Amino acid sequence: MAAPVALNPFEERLIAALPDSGTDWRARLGRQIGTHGLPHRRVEEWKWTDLRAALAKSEAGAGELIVKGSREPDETAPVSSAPFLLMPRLAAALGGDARVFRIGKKQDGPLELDLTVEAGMGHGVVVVNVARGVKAELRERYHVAPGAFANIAVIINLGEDTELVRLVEQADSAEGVLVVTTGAELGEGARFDQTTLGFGGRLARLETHVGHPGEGAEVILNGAYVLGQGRHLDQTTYVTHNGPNGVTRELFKGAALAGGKGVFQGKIHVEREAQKTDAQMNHRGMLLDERAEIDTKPELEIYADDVVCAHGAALGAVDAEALFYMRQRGMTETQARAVLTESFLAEPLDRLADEDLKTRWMDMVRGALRPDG
Amino acid sequence: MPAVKETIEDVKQLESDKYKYGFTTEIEQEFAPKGLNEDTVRFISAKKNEPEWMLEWRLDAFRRWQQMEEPNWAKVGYPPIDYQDAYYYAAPKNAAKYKSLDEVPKELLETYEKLGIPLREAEVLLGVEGAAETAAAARETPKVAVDAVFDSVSVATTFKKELEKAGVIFMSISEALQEHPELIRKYLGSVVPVSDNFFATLNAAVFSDGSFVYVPKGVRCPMELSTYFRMNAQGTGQFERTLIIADEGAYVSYLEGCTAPMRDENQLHAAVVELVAMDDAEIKYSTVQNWWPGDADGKGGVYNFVTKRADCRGRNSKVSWTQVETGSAITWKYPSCILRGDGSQGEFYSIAVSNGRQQADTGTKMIHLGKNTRSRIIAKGIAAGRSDQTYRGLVSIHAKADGARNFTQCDSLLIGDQCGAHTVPYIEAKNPRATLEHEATTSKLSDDQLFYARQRGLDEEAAVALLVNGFCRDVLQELPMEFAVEAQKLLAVSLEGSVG
Amino acid sequence: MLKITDLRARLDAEDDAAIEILKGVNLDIPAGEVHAIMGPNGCGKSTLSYVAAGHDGYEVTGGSIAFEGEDITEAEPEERAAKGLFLSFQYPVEIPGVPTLTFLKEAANAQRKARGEGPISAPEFMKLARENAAKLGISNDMLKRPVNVGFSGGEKKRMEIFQAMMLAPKLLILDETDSGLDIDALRIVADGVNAMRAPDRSMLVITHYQRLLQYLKPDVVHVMSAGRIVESGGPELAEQLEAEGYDKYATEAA
Repeated sequence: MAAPVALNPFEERLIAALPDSGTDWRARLGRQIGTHGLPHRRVEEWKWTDLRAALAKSEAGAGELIVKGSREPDETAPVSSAPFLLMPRLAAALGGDARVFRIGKKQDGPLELDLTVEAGMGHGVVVVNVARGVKAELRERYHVAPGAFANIAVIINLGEDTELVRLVEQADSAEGVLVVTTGAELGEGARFDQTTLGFGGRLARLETHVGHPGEGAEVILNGAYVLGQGRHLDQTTYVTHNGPNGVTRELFKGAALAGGKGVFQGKIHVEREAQKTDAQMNHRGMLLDERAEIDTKPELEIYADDVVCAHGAALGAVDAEALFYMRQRGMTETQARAVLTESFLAEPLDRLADEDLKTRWMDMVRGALRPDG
Repeated sequence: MPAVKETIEDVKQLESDKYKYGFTTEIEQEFAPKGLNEDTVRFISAKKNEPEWMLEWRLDAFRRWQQMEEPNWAKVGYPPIDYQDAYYYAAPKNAAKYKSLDEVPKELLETYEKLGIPLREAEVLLGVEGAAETAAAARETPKVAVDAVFDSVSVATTFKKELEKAGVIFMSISEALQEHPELIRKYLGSVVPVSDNFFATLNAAVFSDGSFVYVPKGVRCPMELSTYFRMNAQGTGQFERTLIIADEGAYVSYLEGCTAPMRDENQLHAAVVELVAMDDAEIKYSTVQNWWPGDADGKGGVYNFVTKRADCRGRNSKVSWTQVETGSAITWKYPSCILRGDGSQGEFYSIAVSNGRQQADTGTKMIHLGKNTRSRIIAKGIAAGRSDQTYRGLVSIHAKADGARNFTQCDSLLIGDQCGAHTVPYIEAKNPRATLEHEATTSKLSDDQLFYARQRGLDEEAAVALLVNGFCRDVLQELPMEFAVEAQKLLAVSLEGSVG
Repeated sequence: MLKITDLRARLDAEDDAAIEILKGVNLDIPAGEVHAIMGPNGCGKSTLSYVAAGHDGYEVTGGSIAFEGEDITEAEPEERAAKGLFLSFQYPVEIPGVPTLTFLKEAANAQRKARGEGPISAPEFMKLARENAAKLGISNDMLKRPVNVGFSGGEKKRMEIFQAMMLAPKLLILDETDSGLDIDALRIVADGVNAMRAPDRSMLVITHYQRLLQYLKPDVVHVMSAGRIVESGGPELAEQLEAEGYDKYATEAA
């Protein structure tokens, strides 16, 4: 396959932190990065998000992932089996013991987690297990300081008939690099309802993999983003339907301002057994200025015949007619644009049950759309 | 469900006896020595009596090719190809000497007759069997000029004289190298560079023939042009090269058809097609690809690895690709448009049918560079049997492409639960005044529609064919009429055991 | 014309748990007669029409269907169609991309071929289409559009009758043809159907309400309940049902 790459100093430091010999997965990971480097644009899944380039000159050294929660983890435990993908594997190799949260019958309000790297690099693994039949809410906030690098794996296990509402806020992280890889496994009848709001960073990637068992289970993945000057956000989703009668709905909407770059990669994979799958995925993006960029790959991989799957993608500017109409009614062009863009972006956030959170998120969207205040 | 299940049973058997183009022609042929090295390249170049610069161009390509790796990103799988275990040149003996149709051996004329491709100008009529009925009823049968390529060489080109009167050059690329070397030198490799990709580079080194079209300024080509590619010899690959130039304000409609005998071995077809459209020029390029797909167990069949690209250089130029892909064991093909001229337009209309063990990875690339460029993509994929099919496409709007617009619609239909249909669109946008719209659906053949059609009296196969034709209608109506009739039949034959 | 004897059928489910929907239906429609089947929702009326037309979503578990004396219980849908059985669907199916006339011509010729007749000529077919379309107030534009795509409920029902006129069946089964029709559309459709009445053509009108029957004047009215025909009578039975409802039969069946 691809020829070995010449490692950059950052990669050399990473490898130095991994065991240099032996056969366990940490050592193999070191050799893998030693040969291929970190993911870069020639790796299909990272085509538009060149992590290697973003970190090539990083001076991030030893650092720490700080996790402040609404409560302490139920347990910390060594990671017993290695995650399959490279980045969460690295998070597991360098992040120490996993923080395990169990959500049982009794819970006072949502489980809230603030995950931050203030300096250097921080890796970590968070595990959230929701017990059978429980309805729960998980809120995460991610922030990376300038020059820092955070690499976090989130593992979510939903038992049968559980429901998890997951709300992810990725705070603007100007010069920080962030990779969050989530793996969610659903039991039959489970419902996973995720909404992300992101403002990007030097490079940020929110990658979500969902194992969908079909049979009454439902997956909702929604997201919104606003990306200003120098911000890059990649939202990648991968839903695998393993059993029949599964439902998936995805809606992502985003806006890129001058110098902002948005990436959406969505994949719906329907296995042969997953007959009667009903999956729909949509991404709509708006380029608001010159030098803005949005790249999209909505992908279907389907092996079952009796399915209804669809995806849509649209990119464009604000509606000129609507703009004129609003200006005729007295708004300034900037104002009219902002109002139109806000209402465009509101759709994926509309379903949030918590009005306070919705208001706060919409305020953040508004703020990001008006960088000059 | 049961109705569909039965259909699937029928469809599963891709009966090789339904591939009516599977015969071989017994004719004495000469070959280049087996294998691929610089001597092979020199042999081909010498056979064609090429100028020195052409040989150098080929050798350069060959040297680059040796440094390249075979791509593996497409969603297709096949055992490694042994490039040394094939012939790179096969031609009927004395082929170069045919001065007129009268000199073409009767075996060859019979071959094309059997394929429904008449080479006698008096009876030129592309729409074979039944097409005449419809076409004739609608209007007078149009003339079609044909270039017939048999393995590595062009054996005949019809209507050359009449075309010359209009100023249109239509001949094999070997002849064009002799008669119009300046045009070839100017345009060859200008759209698909020598080292564009592994198979295009291989083609540059060893291509043996193909068609050349030049339509001068302001000329509307008076008839459809068509090339008919036939692979015949065993153990050979076919590497043709097509170059079409439409000068300012010119228009040309070009059709190509492809068939090959049934063989147990896999044959490689690595073609390159380059189109150049100048200001206000329009090229319509239609393909019906029906290379031998291999038998039901996936034995044999053609590997169809093709690079097709159009350069819309001129303002308001337009290129329209229409393809009906039913053949080949493996297809790897992305006819593309580089929309360089302001206001230029690219279109891609595609029907791909895969059955048996076929694998098809096909789609298009629309690269919007100029202002107000437009592109439209309609792709219909039908997967049956144990086949796998992928639509892969790129729409890229560059920063200067103000007002660019794209519309894409990809629909996949699955017949049976042993096949796969995949959609992999790449969409890149860097201009705030561009709009893109992409829609894709995947569904199965509807039981309700099938029953409804059968209640009205259609048998299952006819009902399937009708529904599939309906599914493909947006694309079929883009084909020249004679081709459309043929294509509809081809769809039915490709999908069913007994129709046709 | 149509003789149904002790017909039993159930949904063709993969497991054996499927419930029987038809529980021994007997029905005899002589040539030239118009019969109506009325009954509450869920009594099996529409299932009967599907089973008669050979829909493979149902499994016949007993009894037989004979058409002009010939057993067609196991026949394919298209074989029944070619013999002259036409079902006007309760929910006509949309077929994108296939123009209505293309569809009908294919169907007509497939039926003719199955009967050993030669194909209908294009001009003859077009002439017939224009005549029939005019009778039903169907525009040329509608004929060119794909089968049922984008049509209103009423337009779809009109197109079903148009198709019936074009295919000239011996037995016309009208499954809830009146549903979704306003009063004007109902009259047009009913006139179309009445125009098709002939000594050698039979009809089976399946309906929940009496209103279509006021126009069609059936010779015999049957009441269906819980998968069986529970009563038969003259046109007056329809009026009685309209006045009294189906409650009586519901309790009887239970």
